Amino acid sequence: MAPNISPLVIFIASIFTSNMVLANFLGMCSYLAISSEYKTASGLGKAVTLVLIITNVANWAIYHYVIEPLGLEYLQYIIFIMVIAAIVQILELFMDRYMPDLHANLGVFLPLITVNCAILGATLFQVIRNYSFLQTLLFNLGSGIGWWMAIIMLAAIREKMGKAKLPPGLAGPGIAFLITGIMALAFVGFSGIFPVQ
Amino acid sequence: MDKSYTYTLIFMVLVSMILTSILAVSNAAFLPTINANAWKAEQEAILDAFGITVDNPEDFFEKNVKEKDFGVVKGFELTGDLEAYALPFEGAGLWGTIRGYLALDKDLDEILGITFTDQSETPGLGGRIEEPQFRDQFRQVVFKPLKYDSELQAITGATQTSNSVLRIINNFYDQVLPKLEVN
Amino acid sequence: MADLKVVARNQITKENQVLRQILGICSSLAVTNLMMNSLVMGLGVAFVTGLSSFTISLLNKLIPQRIRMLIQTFVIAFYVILVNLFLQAYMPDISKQLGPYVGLIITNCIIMGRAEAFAAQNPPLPALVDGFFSGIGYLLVLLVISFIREFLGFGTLFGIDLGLNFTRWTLMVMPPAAFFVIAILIWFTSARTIKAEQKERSS
Repeated sequence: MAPNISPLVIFIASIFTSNMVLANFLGMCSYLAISSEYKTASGLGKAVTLVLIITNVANWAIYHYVIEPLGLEYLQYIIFIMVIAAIVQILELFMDRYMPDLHANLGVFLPLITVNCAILGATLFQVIRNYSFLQTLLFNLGSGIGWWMAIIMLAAIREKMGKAKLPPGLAGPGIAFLITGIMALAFVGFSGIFPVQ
Repeated sequence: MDKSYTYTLIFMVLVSMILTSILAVSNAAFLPTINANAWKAEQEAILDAFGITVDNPEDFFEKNVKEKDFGVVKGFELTGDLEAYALPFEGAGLWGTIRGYLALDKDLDEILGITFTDQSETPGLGGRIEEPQFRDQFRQVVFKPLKYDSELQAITGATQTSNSVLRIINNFYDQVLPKLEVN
Repeated sequence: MADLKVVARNQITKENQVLRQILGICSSLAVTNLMMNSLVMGLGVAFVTGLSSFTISLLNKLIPQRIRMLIQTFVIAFYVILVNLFLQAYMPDISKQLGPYVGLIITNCIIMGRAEAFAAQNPPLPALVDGFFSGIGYLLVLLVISFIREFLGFGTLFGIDLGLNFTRWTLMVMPPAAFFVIAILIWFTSARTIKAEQKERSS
């Protein structure tokens, strides 16, 4: 019942033609808040990708083996968000214990990611589109990479803009949205670069 | 204000139980309406494919449309002034499965219309295949392998989805049409 | 009661969640292609925020500090599911249009923000008012954005074709336009606030 679309196509499409931030508007709050410095932005992007893959593979399994068979679709929002919160918490503890360097870099972002709409958004998209396991995996990998690309591009541009003089009121979120809009416009140009089948 | 572990546990369990039971009850209460809506939407989609607009779709449907097993698919048969068949189709779009109904005349050589019941294409672009402007191009069209030209136009900015739609229809022509059991 | 009026008005103007606090952006941009979608989404957020803040404020003394965020998330998700069921039953077309974005109300930073910043330290009734009107403030911004996008992109308002003959600006319907419109709105409001502050300081 999963759509007959190659996982590779889904992967490329989720980075370029249906980018999480630039086309689907997901994960904007942290995208705006953490994009003033390239290094932190890159760290957040990687953390988001990691969380996307782990939590949404888990959510895929839970949807197909628990929610669907038991007819609990109406509770899916609660179950998904709880799973996301739980996995992020476990991930943070795991990283703190066994990968202290990684934890020093990414750990601080993890609690922020729990409420990042990109994670829950990806879960809901994959449920609606009824993706298979492989499609889910590549969808989330691509979405994470796409989100990461968007935030490092914004951060790189903002670092340069830090020295520019902006009209009053435009500094901060205003200019960030304008830059994002232009990037989104550029990404629209990616549509149709490859055939679906 | 630090509560003990036991309190925390009991609180959590209690809250979960209360909230979940309210939701379970609400779901059961809403479900009949939700299902009725889904069926009504299905009926309207089928009538739209036939090109029929009436004041009371449900009444009209009850009187004139019957389910019919075509062997390879299960569809609907329209009787009365107009005799036709509505057949469900599904295929891959850009983002997910596109589903809908293809309405054919009794001799299976003319498309009366097409409606989409399910699609996850890009809103505002691929999603526009649902708009009458696009779908009306398929009314009273000879059923044969189709392609886009001056008469049949794709949606600007939605090439992938537009191509998917044609691919699904042409696939239907090649694979499903020959196997349809009309009697 | 005077207190509540101030709370309500602030949420719509000075402390508007979208334009001033820059919260709740994700869904703001996604559903602003049509005014009807914005209206339904905005009312949904107002409803959920108001009731969540109200419920959390009621439970304030009972919630163990340790699981505060968890309980808040649970309560918010609870109300969102109710809203979703309601929409599916009574407004199925709109429910389909809004799609997963209804579920994403849960992660809407506005609701969690109000729960943490206001409901946690205030009595239930002000929390309800604050929550509800933060949603209304959000709704108003959404309506402005979608007014521009729907009118220029489709030539309709709330789905009603105005019959005006001009070339539809298709870009307005696509994601980049949402960013541009909200950028301009934020620029406008920020500039006005800065001017007002300058005036205050000089007087």
